[in-house]
Amino acid sequence: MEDRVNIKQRHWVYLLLHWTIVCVISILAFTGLFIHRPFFSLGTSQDPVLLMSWIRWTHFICAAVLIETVAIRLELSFFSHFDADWRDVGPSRKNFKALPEAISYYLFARNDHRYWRKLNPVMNTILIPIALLFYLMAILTGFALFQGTFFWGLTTTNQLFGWVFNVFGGEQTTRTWHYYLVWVFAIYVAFHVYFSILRSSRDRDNTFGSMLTGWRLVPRKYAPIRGGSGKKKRKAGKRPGKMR
Amino acid sequence: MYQTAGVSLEEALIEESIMHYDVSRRDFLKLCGGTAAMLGLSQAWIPQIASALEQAAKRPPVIWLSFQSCSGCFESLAKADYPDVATIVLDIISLNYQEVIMAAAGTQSEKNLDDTVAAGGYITIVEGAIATGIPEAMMVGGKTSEEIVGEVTANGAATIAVGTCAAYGGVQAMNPNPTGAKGVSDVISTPVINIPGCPSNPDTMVSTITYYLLYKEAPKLDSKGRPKFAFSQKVHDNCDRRAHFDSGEYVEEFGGEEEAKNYCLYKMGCKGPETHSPCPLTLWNSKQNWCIGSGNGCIGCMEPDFWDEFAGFYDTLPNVPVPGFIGVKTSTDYIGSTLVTATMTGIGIHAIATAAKGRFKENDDISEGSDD
Repeated sequence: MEDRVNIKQRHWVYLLLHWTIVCVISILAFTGLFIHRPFFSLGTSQDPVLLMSWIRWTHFICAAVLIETVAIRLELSFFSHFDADWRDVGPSRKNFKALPEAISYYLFARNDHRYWRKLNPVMNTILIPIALLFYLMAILTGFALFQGTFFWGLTTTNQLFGWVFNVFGGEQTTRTWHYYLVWVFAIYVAFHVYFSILRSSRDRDNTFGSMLTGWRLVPRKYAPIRGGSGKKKRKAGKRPGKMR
Repeated sequence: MYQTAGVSLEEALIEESIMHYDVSRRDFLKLCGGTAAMLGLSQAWIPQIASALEQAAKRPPVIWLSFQSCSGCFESLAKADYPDVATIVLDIISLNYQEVIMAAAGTQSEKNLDDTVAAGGYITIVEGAIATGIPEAMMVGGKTSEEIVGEVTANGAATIAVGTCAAYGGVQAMNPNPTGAKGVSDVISTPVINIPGCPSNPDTMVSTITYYLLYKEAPKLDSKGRPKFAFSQKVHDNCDRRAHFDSGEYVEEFGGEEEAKNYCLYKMGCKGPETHSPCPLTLWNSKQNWCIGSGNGCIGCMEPDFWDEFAGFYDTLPNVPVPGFIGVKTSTDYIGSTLVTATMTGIGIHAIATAAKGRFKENDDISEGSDD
């Protein structure tokens, strides 16, 4: 086993945002499934609990939190002062080039793989775009179905998002697409968690644990040093002080 | 009573008609009050509505065209409410052509139609879908439905499409739509007031016609061409079982104890949350009852494509076509759970293969050349 170095790779703000999104979407999935088909009831007919109202209320509040969180995450990935990571997250030409190699490793067509300092090409070119598309779909169809008012009644979503129904071909079809999102989320979580376990057990770099601690055990030759990260950066010596 | 019967009431005032049909002044004002409420006007408007109806000395001629339909919408209007609003409305207007009830036949009826079209200034009411795919499927007097509706509406003052068939194509437009059934607004370029429903609600029809008589223009329409005064709210929002929905009290099965308690029909596939309609307010059958009141969920008959988009009517979400299998429909739950199961199985197989390959063991398979 080669020489390893423990580095602080994930900023606590990003970890917080990640786990906020996880919690919020989990609540949204649960409440959404309940709205789709109410599977339990509370109270009695004499003393009913406004269950559906509260579940829907929770769904809307969590949707608002999700939109806020995603917006903050996107903003930070471009403009943050501690880790503007838009170069490392999301599809890029470099990642697309490396994608066949990465996939062939996962499909056992080759036995070696490169070490990816942050996210690997599969995550960057497939899962991240799916996640962004997921947010876009969820927000558009969600607002269209919400049909309420927001900003203290200054705006009604009917006027702003009525066109979404035309795009999807009617309110009922929009509802169906909104419902598919819960299955997309389930499949996404399965892949995402499996890949992170796979990587941590294979590369022994504590990828899984780094989502809680932020610390990752990176091979020394790929570890960022002050003045840059990786081999190329070390030579160039650019971007001083940036935590990479 | 009708022009086609040869007895002209052309100059008759509505007041005389009311006397003739033994409708009391009180009943007549009740109609005006109901119409005012429907149009969202205050009680102060009742005298003006009454006067507009009474002073309609020259009654606007109406041509009622029937195409691919069951004539249910006309039945709905003709068998309308107490007091006999249909009678009043049929005398407020001058119904020059209506295939179901006109006495004239053959060339005489066609002449009535041609004369009215030539004179202009009439209201065209269309019932039933237009056959565009197989035009021969719907012909009257040797002309296709598309030709007739084009000729008649071109010279008219206003066009009203009553019923979901005339508005959006209706049941005969169901996939694969062999006759190419389309709504009126899809085949003509002039504006159309859609009053959908299967059948359309008589109160909405009366109110729309009254609105036109009052203002000489179409009411404000929503994005689907429907009068906003009637179709701006959802069945769900005005449903008398809404409290049960909010409390999480649902009918679990037909014939169950929850049904006897009039609980919400959401789990039985009620499409009230997606349907814009005044049904809970106007009710049906002389304000006796409505679909949900009789224990059946709303099937959304006032919405475009309800025949495809909302079916099956007893599922919370309708079934969806399976890509790659033409004509096969299945539930969204089934599609979703199948995909999740397939994913989990795939991951399990991959994990076993990875373990068998020895990749979970400590190894050094990181190749040279990093990511940057």
